[in-house]
Amino acid sequence: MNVPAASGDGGATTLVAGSSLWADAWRRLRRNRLAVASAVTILALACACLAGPWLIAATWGHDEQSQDLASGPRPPSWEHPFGTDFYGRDLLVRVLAGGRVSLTVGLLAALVAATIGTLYGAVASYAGGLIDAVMMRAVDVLYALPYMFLVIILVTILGKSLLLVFLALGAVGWLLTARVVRGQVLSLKEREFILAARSLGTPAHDIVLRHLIPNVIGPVIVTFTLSVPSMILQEAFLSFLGLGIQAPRPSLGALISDGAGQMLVFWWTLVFPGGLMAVLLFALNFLGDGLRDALDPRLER
Amino acid sequence: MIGYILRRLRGLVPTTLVIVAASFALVRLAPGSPFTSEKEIPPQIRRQLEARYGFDRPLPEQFLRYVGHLLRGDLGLSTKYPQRSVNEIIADGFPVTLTLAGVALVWALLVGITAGVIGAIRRNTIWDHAAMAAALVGISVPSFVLGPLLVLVVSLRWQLLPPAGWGDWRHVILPGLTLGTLSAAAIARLTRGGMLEVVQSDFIRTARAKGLSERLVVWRHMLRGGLLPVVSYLGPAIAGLLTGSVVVEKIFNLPGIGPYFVDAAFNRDYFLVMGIVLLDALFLLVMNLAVDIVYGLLDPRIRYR
Repeated sequence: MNVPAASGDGGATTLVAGSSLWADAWRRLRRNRLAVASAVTILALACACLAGPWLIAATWGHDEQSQDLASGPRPPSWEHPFGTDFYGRDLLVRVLAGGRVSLTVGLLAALVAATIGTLYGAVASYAGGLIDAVMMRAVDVLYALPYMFLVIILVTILGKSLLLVFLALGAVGWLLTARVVRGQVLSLKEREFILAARSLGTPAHDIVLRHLIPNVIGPVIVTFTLSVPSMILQEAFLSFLGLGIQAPRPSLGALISDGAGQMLVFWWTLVFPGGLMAVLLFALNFLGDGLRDALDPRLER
Repeated sequence: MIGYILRRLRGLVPTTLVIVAASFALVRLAPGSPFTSEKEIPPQIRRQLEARYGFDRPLPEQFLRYVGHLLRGDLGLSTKYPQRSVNEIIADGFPVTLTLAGVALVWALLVGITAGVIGAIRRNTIWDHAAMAAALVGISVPSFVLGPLLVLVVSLRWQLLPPAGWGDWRHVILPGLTLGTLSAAAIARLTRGGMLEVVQSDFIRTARAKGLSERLVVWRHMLRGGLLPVVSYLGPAIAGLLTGSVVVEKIFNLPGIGPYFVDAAFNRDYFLVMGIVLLDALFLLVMNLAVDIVYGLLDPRIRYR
């Protein structure tokens, strides 16, 4: 929609496009070449992990579970670029399928954590007073706990399905987001537009959901992006301990755990899954850093 | 100050009670019991076993008895290792875990702060970029990849240090490095960021204006400001070290408390799980209190009342 500019200077209508926070952030992010490279890497890896296992199965007939004891473990070759594992399974397929599990768990767990954290922090901060004090005291107590121990208990209680792993990770990973959001809302709720909304009689849940949360979405995105790699790391941590995704389904943590046990003889079983994990985390962390710099102009270097 | 510490210590009591209640509820509401195993246990023996540990009483009574035993410092008996009390298992394993975490923390602070200071005072030079790239690699390489690689290169290729086991000081170096690298990287980034934040503040200008040498400005004034975010990170960092020790102890086959915890959670070894959770939580709560006190000592703007 075109809005005619109020022309006070004889009809010269110069519309200066206001640059929104998002446009600014997008521009800053694009200038950060490392962040762009990381985003491209993540997209490429995600595509490979999604389509790769299927493509390889269709072309070469290797799939992630079929065993061929006669042909394993073999070093990398043309037929098996990443080699094969102890049971003769193609490692490339397994690594890609494991990467898919890691990415899924990381994204979903981070999403669960961001949702809980944002709502919790916004409600606590907007309610204020005793409610705020009690709610944040609970966060302090949880923050002080070795929370992986809670996840371990939860996983052993709930069982070891993919769904439960990311629910357990998300259910205890929302603390940082809650703190960040609370801090932001604390200053936002004193602003005029909230006062205006209140004086119009807007109910509290509408103020929180429609006015406060949209204004804290920047910091939430940054904590979300940075929590994806840490969720991936924690899923791998659980799988390494044998608590995550169960065999024969591959996950990066379980593959690394297997590889670490036989790295002396079959080095490729550690190097490839470990390598994919490191590259994935590296790119995600870099992108998160770039997003933080882009969305938080105060930190401009 | 003393009043503040006393008040915080008093605050630990309800927190601890909540933790005990929560871990009791979590562990006891879990399906399964310590005595469900592959072998079928005759019902009579099973009833006797349950009576021995008091599992035949109603849950509220069990909880009160547990709290009563805790007050006397008795963490109960392990169901998996019938000959041993939880106190004994913890007394054996916890010193190993603490030593490991301590070495890791010292390594993390030394390397992290040094790298962060270099990054900040040589900002946007090759030194800065190298230090920060190294820090990002440190954050991105998980301990369970780093550990086996270190064993492969340092222990097996170069034969410098033992690959596993526990004994003298040489056994703690590789696990300590493995465990501490993640924190070292995080501390390097925090130190650099914290120092860059104070570089332009008035008190640095004042320090320069009154003619202090550059070295004093950096090490006394800038570093102090730069360390504030590091100090507030120490609480989560120590929690992370305790958690990470579970994996590192497994990689290096150390007799710490971590592997016990995973087994205990699997076997529904009720008292052992609760004992380890309680001990770790208490340790962290006390460390967090210590961190808050140090924070106040470093930052003159904070007053404890």
